[in-house]
Amino acid sequence: MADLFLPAEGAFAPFLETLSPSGNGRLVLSEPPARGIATVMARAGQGAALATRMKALYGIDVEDAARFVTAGDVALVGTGPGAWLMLREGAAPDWAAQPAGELDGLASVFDQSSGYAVLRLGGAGAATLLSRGAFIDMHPRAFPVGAAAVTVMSHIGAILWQREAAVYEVAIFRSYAASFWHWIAATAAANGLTPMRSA
Amino acid sequence: MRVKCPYCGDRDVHEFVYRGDAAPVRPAADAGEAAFADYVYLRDNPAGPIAEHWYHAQGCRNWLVVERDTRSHAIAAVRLAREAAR
Amino acid sequence: MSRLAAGGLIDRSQPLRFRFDGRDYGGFAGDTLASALIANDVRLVGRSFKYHRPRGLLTAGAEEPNALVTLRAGARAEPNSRATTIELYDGLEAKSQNRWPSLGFDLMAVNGLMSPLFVAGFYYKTFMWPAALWEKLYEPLIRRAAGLGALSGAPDPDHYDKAHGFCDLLVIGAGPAGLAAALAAGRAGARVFLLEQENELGGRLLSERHEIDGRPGHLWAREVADELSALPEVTILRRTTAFGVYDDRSYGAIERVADHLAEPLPGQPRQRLWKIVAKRTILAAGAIERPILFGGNDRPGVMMASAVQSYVNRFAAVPGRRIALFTTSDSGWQVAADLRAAGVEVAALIDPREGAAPMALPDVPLFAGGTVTSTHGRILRSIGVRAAGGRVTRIAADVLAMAGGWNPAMGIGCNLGSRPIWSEAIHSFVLKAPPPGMALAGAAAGRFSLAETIGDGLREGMAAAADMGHEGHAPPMPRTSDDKAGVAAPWHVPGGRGKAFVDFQHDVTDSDIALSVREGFRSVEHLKRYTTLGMATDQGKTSQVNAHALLAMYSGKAIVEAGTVLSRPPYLPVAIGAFAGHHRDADFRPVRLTAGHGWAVEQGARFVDAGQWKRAQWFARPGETGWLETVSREARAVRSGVGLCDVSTLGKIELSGADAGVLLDRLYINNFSTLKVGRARYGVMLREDGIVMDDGTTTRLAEDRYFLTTTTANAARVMQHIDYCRQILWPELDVQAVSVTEQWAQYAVAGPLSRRLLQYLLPDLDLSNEAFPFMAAAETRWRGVPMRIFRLSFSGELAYELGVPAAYGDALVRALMEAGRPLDATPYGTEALGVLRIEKGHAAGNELNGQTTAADLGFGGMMSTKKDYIGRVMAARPGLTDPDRPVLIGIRPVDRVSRLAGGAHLLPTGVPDIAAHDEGHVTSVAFSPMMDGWIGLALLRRGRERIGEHVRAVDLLRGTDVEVEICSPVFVDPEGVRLRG
Repeated sequence: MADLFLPAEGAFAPFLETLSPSGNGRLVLSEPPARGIATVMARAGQGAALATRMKALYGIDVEDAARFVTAGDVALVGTGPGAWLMLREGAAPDWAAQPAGELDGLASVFDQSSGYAVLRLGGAGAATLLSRGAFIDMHPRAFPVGAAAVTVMSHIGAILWQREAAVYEVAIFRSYAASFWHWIAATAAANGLTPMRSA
Repeated sequence: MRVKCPYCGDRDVHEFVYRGDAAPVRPAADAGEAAFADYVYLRDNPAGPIAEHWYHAQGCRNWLVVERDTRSHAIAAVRLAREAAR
Repeated sequence: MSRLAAGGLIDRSQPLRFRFDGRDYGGFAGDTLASALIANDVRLVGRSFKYHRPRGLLTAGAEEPNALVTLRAGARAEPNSRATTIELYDGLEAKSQNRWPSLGFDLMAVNGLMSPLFVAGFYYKTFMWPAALWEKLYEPLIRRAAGLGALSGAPDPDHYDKAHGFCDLLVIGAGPAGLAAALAAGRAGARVFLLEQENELGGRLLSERHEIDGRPGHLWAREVADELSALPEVTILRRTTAFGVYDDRSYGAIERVADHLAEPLPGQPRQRLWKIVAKRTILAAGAIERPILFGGNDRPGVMMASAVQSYVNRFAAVPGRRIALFTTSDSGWQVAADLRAAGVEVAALIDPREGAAPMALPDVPLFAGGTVTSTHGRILRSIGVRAAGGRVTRIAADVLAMAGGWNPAMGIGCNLGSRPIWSEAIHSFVLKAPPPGMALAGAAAGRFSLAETIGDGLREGMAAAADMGHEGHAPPMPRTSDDKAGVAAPWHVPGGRGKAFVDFQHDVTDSDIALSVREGFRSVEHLKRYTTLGMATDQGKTSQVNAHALLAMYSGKAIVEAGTVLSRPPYLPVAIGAFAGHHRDADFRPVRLTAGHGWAVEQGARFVDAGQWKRAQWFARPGETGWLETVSREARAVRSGVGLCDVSTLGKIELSGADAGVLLDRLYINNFSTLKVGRARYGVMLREDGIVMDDGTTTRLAEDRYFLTTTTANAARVMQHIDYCRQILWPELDVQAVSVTEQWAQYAVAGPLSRRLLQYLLPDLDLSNEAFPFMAAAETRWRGVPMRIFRLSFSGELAYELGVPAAYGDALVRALMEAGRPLDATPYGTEALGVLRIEKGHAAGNELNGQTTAADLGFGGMMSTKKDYIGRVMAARPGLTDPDRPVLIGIRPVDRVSRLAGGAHLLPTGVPDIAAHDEGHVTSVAFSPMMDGWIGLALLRRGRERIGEHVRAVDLLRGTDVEVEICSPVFVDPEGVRLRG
């Protein structure tokens, strides 16, 4: 029963509370609502069958590439050959058992819903801010909507992707949230950006 | 230096961990101590092209075979080690 | 005041105040500190490094060797700042350097009188013996006498930013060539980064009176800059210097964001470090004018002609009333013409080139074929000129402008090892083989006339854009005014009066180079090290080529044979803070906080760094007098009641796949494919050389799924090792592996009352020994959240570890504390954890030290003989199986009250404290509440055969020598009764 679940603690929530909900909109920060996150890795030689199964189950077009693809409440972020982060909107804390069962024999599914803290960055200044940390070309031609990358930002491992035009999400390991936030705040200020939180 | 990871694309060298010569192959279990000593300790050190193992630690976490010229750092090819082994 | 009434690019509507060496002056927006000093008739700006000779401004650019000042005061004071590149701001404060007590009267100038002593190789020759005096006496003395500016000694109060850039074309330098290149490529649609070290774009166009399309060149520059600013794919970085070229088309650049302000605005970084990846680069950094080598060429008042031109034309600041020119290049004639146009008296123009007359100069006394042989005055008052016929005359002049030709500024182009070669056409070195992707344009390519530079820029810009797939029409070539570029080879006037300086900043003269050659230091590299030429903060920008010309002359070689040196990054000094960026003080490296961190803070935890993690070290209670009391209480609580410890930082890796068990069998010395589902097993993994890599427990969660833990320190290394094994050694295995360290918050609940505590929390779970024995594991749910329970024990007590997803970790630890309240559950930290494990003889980081084998640590019996595993063969080598090896044992002080020290060496009793008697060392020590005394773990030669023997623990660093008894490393409950209770 859903109401028995403990509320998950958002890793960035205490920091976002310090921001104003109004501003010039050039940098808007938020934490996506609690969602399921899992590492999905194809079993040996099962990549094609896995893609077929996921298409059938979730209606998603699996790409074995550093891409962000989404269908309904499921999204996949390519993190390595035959490896993805699966995102599931509105998932319960024990959600990962379901895809693990559905993909049994085709993929190993490792729940990481708590392992990653995800920060969403929107606004015209978001790409600039990200490029200060990631040594990745964030030009819209080089990193368009649907692009994803596993890299490092400010010495912190990060997975980032562009969800929709000028809306990016960055997943970092949860324990780094405070350090990452400190870097975000300092770097935004250093580049003339005043972050606001989404209302 | 930039390394063109087959999965992630062109990335700065600081994302990678260097291991060394990709040529030595782990001997069979019964190969004996001399063969293992060779495998563990002895490395060629060519001035010129060499195939090396690099790990994309801050990326896709894949081991790569990087063909690099030690004189110029020019990288001729990068493959996933898993595929190179096949 | 020496400011022209009109003209120049300064903004006379914005007067600025500044202070130099304690005196107040005025300048204008658009001035540099140097131009403002000139406008105020300040002619003495520094003292030289070695001889403390008075020095004036030599140049108007970044190559300045003399005018090094300390800019700002207090923590922001920056020594060795070049006055020529400091943009004037209101309230600027600067001080001259390397003088005592004052710039005008410097006691250290006595060094100049002793100058015969300070010849090339002086330090090598003088301070060779005795060596012991070097550190204590010579070096401090030399550093005091021959120094540049001093650091403030205070922490840098400013913040530094870092940025990454990617472009089709990087243009370095926004002079006429760079502007033309950026314009051509930018119009074609290429992504262009244009870097200019100044705020104003235009380069030489700002300092010269040349015309483009019939209008002043600086207006053309402004129009191009405006157009470039409007192009969306063009990024202009002003006040930015490219300081290095790195492999694979990577560049380093420093953007001086706030150096032109008294201090950065709130939040603003002082500087920004750029790493730029450029598919193509055009190096259009211009050229640096070279001095002429003649006696007295360092006297204040002797300046570069291009600098005089820049001060007069750009800044309307006239450095002298009567200016003489000594030129071997046509550009010097243009400077004379510019001076006349500005109404400045030109005392003479001396050009040693016979018959050179690039332009008519009415009213200027010409000395064709003449040379300057001497300079006079404390600050220049007159010069000696030898006319073509040999007659020497004195000419009154307060400034002597020298124009010795131009050296292409290709510095960073040599960073990757391409050696410049001599060009007879321009009498300088040129770069024929720039780094991959780089082209040179304009003066940097040795093509000096304005028409050539713009033509080069347009052509190279178009070519680069086309290479990147951007086709466009080349902008039309503009008309430029006539620009003669004839030049002679580097010029040396032999036999003049006084020293002829080559390196002004390091005080290297022509005679130093002659001496160096006589003593056999004849390669450019030897010359550099022996004389320190080119090794000062200016890195020889004005001196290198002249020195190599002299070297060639003195050694009877052609300069093309002598060659020149390479340059390493950085092109200009870069603040260390810029490299550190955000990462200093508390942000030095990222910090990892466990889910229970906030709870631990509330409990009064003191934290210790474990890699990037913050771990609770202990939880002091009010009234406790020291850490030992706290830690002992925590350890006792675990032995007698129940304690709670956050063990989330242990590395956690999940392996899945049909062959997961097979892989684990090859990774560990013991077997895991035989482990039952729902059971855990301790394992040890070796490196391939047979030494222990890491240890931990592995739990089988399902037939094809394992959960293994690593030590906190080795988590990343083990993950990398597993990836190596499954991707390279055995890619045929079906195994997937991922770090889940961050997914699970995990807490140890340890002590005889731990079962009762858990039962409060999880009343429906059967935790009896029968249902859930030692090394059992289960997956369950707690308040709807997945939970893992392991019956593991590091303390040797009845103990469990509970894991929940980290988002619920805080809730779990609070719930555990709540459930444990009736049992007086006690939080314990890493110190108590250490005490408990030492009491049990468990090896940890101090024992897994990269030198120990499994057998050394007592795990020999675990080493399977029925399978292959990593390290098996090499672990059997005689050296690793030698019975003489130090092995893990326990020690206790014989007198039971002495304190033990980690790191102490073990020696037999009754022998001297020398290395030959060393038999091992103490790895870990603790005060054991159970044993009521200090205990230790140690690695001792043949230790297991020596139980009961007495040896000495000798610590020469702390000066302790304690007689200890050798015992089993397991001090508490050797039978494991409590563990299985």
